[in-house]
Amino acid sequence: MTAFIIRRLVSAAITFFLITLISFVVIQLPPGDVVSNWVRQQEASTGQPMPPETIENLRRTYGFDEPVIVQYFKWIDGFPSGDFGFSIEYSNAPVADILVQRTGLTVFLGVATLFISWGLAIPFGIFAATRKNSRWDYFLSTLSFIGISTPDFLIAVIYLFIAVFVLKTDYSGGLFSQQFKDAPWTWERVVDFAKHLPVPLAILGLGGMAGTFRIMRANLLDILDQQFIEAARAKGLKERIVIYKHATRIAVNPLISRVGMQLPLLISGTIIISIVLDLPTLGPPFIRALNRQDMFLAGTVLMILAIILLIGNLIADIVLAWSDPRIQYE
Amino acid sequence: MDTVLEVSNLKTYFYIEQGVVRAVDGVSFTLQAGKTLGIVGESGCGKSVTSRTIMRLLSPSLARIVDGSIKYYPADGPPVELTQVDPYGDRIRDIRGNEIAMIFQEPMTSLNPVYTIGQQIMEAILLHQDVSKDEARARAIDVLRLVGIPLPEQRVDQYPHEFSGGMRQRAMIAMALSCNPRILIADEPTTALDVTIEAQILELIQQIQQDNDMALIMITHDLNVIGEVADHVIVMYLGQVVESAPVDDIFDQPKHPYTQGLLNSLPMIGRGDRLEPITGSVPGPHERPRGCPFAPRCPQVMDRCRAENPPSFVLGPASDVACWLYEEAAEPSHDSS
Amino acid sequence: MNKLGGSGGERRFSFFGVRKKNIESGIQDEYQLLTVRQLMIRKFLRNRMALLSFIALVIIYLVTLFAGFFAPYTARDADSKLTYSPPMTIRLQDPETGHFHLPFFYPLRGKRNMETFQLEYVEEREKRIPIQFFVKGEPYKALGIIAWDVHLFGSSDPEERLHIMGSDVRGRDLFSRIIYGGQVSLSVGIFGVLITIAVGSVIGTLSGYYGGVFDNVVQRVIETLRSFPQLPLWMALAAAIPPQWPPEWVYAGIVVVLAFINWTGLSREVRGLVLSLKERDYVHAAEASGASTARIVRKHLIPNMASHIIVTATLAVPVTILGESALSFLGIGVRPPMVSWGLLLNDAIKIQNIVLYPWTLFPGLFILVAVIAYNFLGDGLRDMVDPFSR
Repeated sequence: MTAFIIRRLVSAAITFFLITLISFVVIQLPPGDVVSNWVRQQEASTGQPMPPETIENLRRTYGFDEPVIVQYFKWIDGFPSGDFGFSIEYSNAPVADILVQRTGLTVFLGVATLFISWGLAIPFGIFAATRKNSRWDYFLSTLSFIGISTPDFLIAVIYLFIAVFVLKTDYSGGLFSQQFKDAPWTWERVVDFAKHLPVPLAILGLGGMAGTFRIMRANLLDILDQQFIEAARAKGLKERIVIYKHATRIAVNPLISRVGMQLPLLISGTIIISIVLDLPTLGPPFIRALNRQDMFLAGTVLMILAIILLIGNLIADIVLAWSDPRIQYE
Repeated sequence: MDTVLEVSNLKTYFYIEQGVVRAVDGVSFTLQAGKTLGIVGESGCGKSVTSRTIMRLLSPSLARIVDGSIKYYPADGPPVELTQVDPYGDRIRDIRGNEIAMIFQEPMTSLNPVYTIGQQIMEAILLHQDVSKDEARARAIDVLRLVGIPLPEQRVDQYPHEFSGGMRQRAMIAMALSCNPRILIADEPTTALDVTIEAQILELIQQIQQDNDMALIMITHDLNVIGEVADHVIVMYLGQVVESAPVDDIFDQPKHPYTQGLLNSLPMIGRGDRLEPITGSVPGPHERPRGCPFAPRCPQVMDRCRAENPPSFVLGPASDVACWLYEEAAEPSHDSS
Repeated sequence: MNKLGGSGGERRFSFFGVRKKNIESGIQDEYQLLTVRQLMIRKFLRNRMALLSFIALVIIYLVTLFAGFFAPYTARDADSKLTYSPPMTIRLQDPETGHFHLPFFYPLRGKRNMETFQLEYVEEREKRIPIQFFVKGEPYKALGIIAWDVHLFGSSDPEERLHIMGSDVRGRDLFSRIIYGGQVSLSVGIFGVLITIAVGSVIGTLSGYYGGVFDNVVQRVIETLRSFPQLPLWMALAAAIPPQWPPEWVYAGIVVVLAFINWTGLSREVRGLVLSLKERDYVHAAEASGASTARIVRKHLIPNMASHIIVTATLAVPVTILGESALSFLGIGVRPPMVSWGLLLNDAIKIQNIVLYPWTLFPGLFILVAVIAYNFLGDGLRDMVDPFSR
């Protein structure tokens, strides 16, 4: 087991390196370098040309006068000290400052969504699978098919439509009320946060649920056909115990291994819904940075998202190895 | 001799989209304590459905018992009519695993891969017996030793994938035996195993049967296995019993053309003649012939066979055959159907 | 989604028997090929949802192809008097007298609410404007070449415009814009997937057939690309398209960006297929008899992979459509004056707009229908070629 974890960590380290490389390529991708973009925008807003020395200074600090490969190493060299480059959008603030709390909320929303979608999909999956071909099964299966076809952003706007016209709520986006937006964490802020959570979580959870439901149903149907289920019944166990202890316990394993596929969708969903609902996650600064070609910020956000994914997969692999004794650690 | 199970005129039909499949269509037999009943037939003849009907393991939404009775005689108390019990109810669950246990064809898939062997055996013991966890564990180790698993104290904590095929079947037997059942139903227990292991497993089952005075229903397509273990044999074809006789009679003087065909297709040492396979194949569930189910493949078929399904003719105290050839020789039928 | 097809086990089995024979004999027997094809078509026709979806897609594509004819207006045709007009009701019956008429509508008149400063519309009941079929209207070019000015339907009075799905901020007809937007949204799916197939199957075949260093590098690249969440990576790449490019170039750029990530999935699938196919006896036999690699790929690998590639491609179309919609919805996809469903839905990105102008959600309905239809179609095709899929 330890050897297995170590091997996975080494592989993750290599992937991490490649992620930074691609993120850097993304930063370099738009025509013109980051400094000239910034200078152009500054000049446009102040209406005054910038002194050449200042430009030269900036170029030297971030190594734009050096070969691309050196720039790359300068960029990653800053990581341990929390320096991810600078941001145009946030008036030259270090990227790290902008992102710490937002990263936390992104991860929080992602994890909460994962558990909510599972918490709903597993019972519904069991319900449908144990009533195979019943009217409920058809209904849920059709609904889930529509669910997997509906993009998150559409769910978000449809949900907003329902919220406004049917439920008549006054939810207007965000995760905090105005007065708590930049406040430090207090009990009142937590309460306010909890009040804002249900809508985004419902949208994200609904999006993630459909796919999980389908997998769960199919898995459980596969497993209920197996010999050991009949053997468990032949022992005289209650049907409930056969379903939950013997069948569901195994049907859940593929869900864990599927986290690797679910996480990217979840993160994509979190990003786009955050943009629609203006949630203080990595989504809004990401889209703003992309629109302004604020590439250090954009590239860093992209990299953080990939790293969240990497860690998520790592955890899922380890949980799966622990949960399924059949997994070989070779 | 004590009768433990009496099945008469049992009919189990499957109701599926494409129509009705008469999987078991009038099966009768009696099972005595300490004796072995062999049920033999090709795949699809209804032998497995018969065993699952006795255990009431079939989903009521799919399979229905349309006729007949299954009487189980417990050690004490009145007989139980198993066709009448609720398949999810307490009464049948009390009997399953405790008084009637079952082992399956595929040792590889009969054990749940995510629980240890010990957990799965203890589950049955804790369910049916009023014992503590430690006692259940001790009992699990005992039965594992009984079925010949080396180092049972260590093996008890291993997972099924750490066992070989033969060892898994031993573990399955251990699980089935853990509550000292009065009847053991073995559904092709050795089909998936090597010949040498097959012999060991059969010997083991017989040994335990003698020690515990347990009744055994051995379901198989393999006449060699039947010859090895059975006292009495019923031969099934398309859901019907075509011949029922003591094991020696089946081998020495088979009556039904189907039984004869099965024996002729069996390689035997010391028999000079050629193997003769039965021509044709078992018809699908929807192509069931009108008269005798075996008529299309029967070498001695008569016009009557195609029109009328023969009843069971009694040929001796324990010998019945469902074939028009024996109408003359038969004693008056003791079965009204 | 075999439950909707209701396909039984037996049918699948006999189908598999025939197909297996065909693969293993490795001979393109004309008669047998026909039989397989017939069986596949029969199986497809039995899957009602897939068939229905296929018909729906054909209709949608035809309508967008002849957008000029089916749309009552062009995409840019604005009317400043009718900004954010709600959908107008097509009537067959006079609401007061109950008499039946040929289809007509009442024009809307805007009035500014002096408390909310919103423009509020009321029907002008005095004026009944008949709806005319094959009406002469704005000139357009059918299929981009034939100049014409006849529209399927429209208001009989050029001064009174008909907006069956409402209008946008500049008074442009939303229904017409949706039809024109479909040209972009739906073609992005097709072109994106064509690139995906070309790149994915070539790289997949090469890395599966040759293996070695090339395969290792390709697999590592794919793994790295897939270690990014798809949408953010698309967003980052789309943002790199220079803003000064003309809209057509931007469109092409978006197609390339979408295909850039999609090929990885197809390539993996093809690689797996090649790995299993190249161990088949008939491929070994062909190698032993001196057939060139190109011939083996052409004669033995491609025919056997075609069905899988088609299924994967069909299921990749909705992903691509959604990708374009999401990017355009966020304002980093195709750019005006081009229209796409995602771009139209961008009007609904603000919660106030959903409240005030809920009809701006109509484009979402079209995205949904197209994507669901493609998913059903892909599912039906998968059932058809892969009898053991769940």
